[in-house]
Amino acid sequence: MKNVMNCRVAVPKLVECARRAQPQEQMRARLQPELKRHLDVCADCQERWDAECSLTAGLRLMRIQASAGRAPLAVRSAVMQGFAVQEFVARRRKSASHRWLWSVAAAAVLLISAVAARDRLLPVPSAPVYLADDQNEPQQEGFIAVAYAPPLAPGELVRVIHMELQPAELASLGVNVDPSWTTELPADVLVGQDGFPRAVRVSDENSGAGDY
Amino acid sequence: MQRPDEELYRLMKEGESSAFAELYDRREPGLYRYALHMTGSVTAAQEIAHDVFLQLMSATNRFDAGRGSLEGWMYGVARNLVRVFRRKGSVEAAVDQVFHDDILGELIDSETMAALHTAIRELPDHYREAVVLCDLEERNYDEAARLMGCPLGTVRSRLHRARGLLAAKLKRVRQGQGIRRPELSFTG
Repeated sequence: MKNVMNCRVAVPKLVECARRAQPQEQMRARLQPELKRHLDVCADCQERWDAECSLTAGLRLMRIQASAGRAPLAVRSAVMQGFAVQEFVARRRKSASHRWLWSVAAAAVLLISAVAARDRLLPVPSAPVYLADDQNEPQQEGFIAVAYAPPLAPGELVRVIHMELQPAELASLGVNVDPSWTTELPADVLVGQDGFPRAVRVSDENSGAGDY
Repeated sequence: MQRPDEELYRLMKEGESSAFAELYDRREPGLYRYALHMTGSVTAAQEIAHDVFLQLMSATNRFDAGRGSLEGWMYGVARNLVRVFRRKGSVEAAVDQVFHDDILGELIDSETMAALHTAIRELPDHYREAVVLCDLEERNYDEAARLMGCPLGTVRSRLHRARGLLAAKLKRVRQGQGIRRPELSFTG
C-alpha cells in the first residue's frame, strides 16, 4: 500500500498522540491507520514516537511528584496577616478622611445657620463673617494667631470653622496645651480664603482655654 | 457554585478577607508549581507565589478586568518575577532533591529524570512555559494561550518545538548511558 503521509504531517500528530499519556502499546493501537503505516516505514518517525512516549512518561512523573506542591502554611499566614494589616490601615485612613469631611460639612452648616440667623436679627446685613482687618488683633475674642501663617490680604474674607482637635493638633497651631488634655477638644479655627488657618481658640470652658 | 476570580478580587478590594483567602487557596498552588518548574528552585517558587499576592494586594496594581482575566494577570506577574530571578542567574538544583525520595522516581531511572529536569530548565523561557502549562499543569491550548498572552497556534508550535528539543536531549542522555530505551511504566 502506498505510504501517503510524509514526516512533516506525521510528527505533529505523533506528538499529540503521545501527549495523551496512555500506555504506549495501547496508544499505538489507537493511531490512525495512515499514521501507523507511516511509522512502519519511517525509522525517524518511529524513533520520534518512542522518544515522545518516553518524554510523556517522564513529564507525567514530574507532574505527579509536583501535584501536592505548594508554599508552606507559614507563607499563607504571612500573606493573610499582611492583608489584614493593610485593610486596617486603609479603614483608619478612610474613617479619618470621612471624619474630617463631616467636620467641615458640619462647620459649613453651622456657619450658614449663623449667618442666616444674624441676617434675620440684624437690620444691616454684612456678607463677611470676619474681616481681614481684624487679624491685626487676633487675640480678640480669645483667638490666638497661628505662628508662621501667611498674612491675610487687605479685605480678604475669613471664616470661622468649629472643629474637634487633638491636643497635639492644637499645640501645632500654637495653643498652650495643658498636659491634662487627653481627648479631642472643640475649637474655633479662623481660616482665610486660601484655606490656611490664621487663628485658633479653644471653645470648651472646661478645657482651661482661658489660661493662655 | 464557585465564584469567579474577578468577583473575589472585587470583594477583596472592599476589604473582605475571606474572599482574599479563597482566591489565595484557589490560585496559589498552581502559581507555586509554575514558578517551581520555571525556576527549578523551591525557595524562589515560594517567594514568587508570595510576591504575586503582595502585588495583588497593592493598591497600585495594574489589573484591569477589561483587558483580561485575573488569572492571566497573576501568571503575567509570576512570569516577570521568574524572569527577574533567572536574570540573577541563581538557578538551583533544588527540584532534583525535592523528588529524591519519591518511590515513583524509581520507575524511571534517576539519571533520566535528572536529565529531564535539567533539560526543561535549559529550554528558552517561552518553550519552557509551554511545557509547564500544557504538559505539567495539564492546561488545554486555550487556557495556556490566555495565560501566556499569545495565540493558540503559537502555544501549539512552541510546545511541539520544546518537546522536540527535550526528546533530543533525553536521547543523548540515553546514548551516553548506553541504554537503548529507558524502562518506562505507564499506569494509565
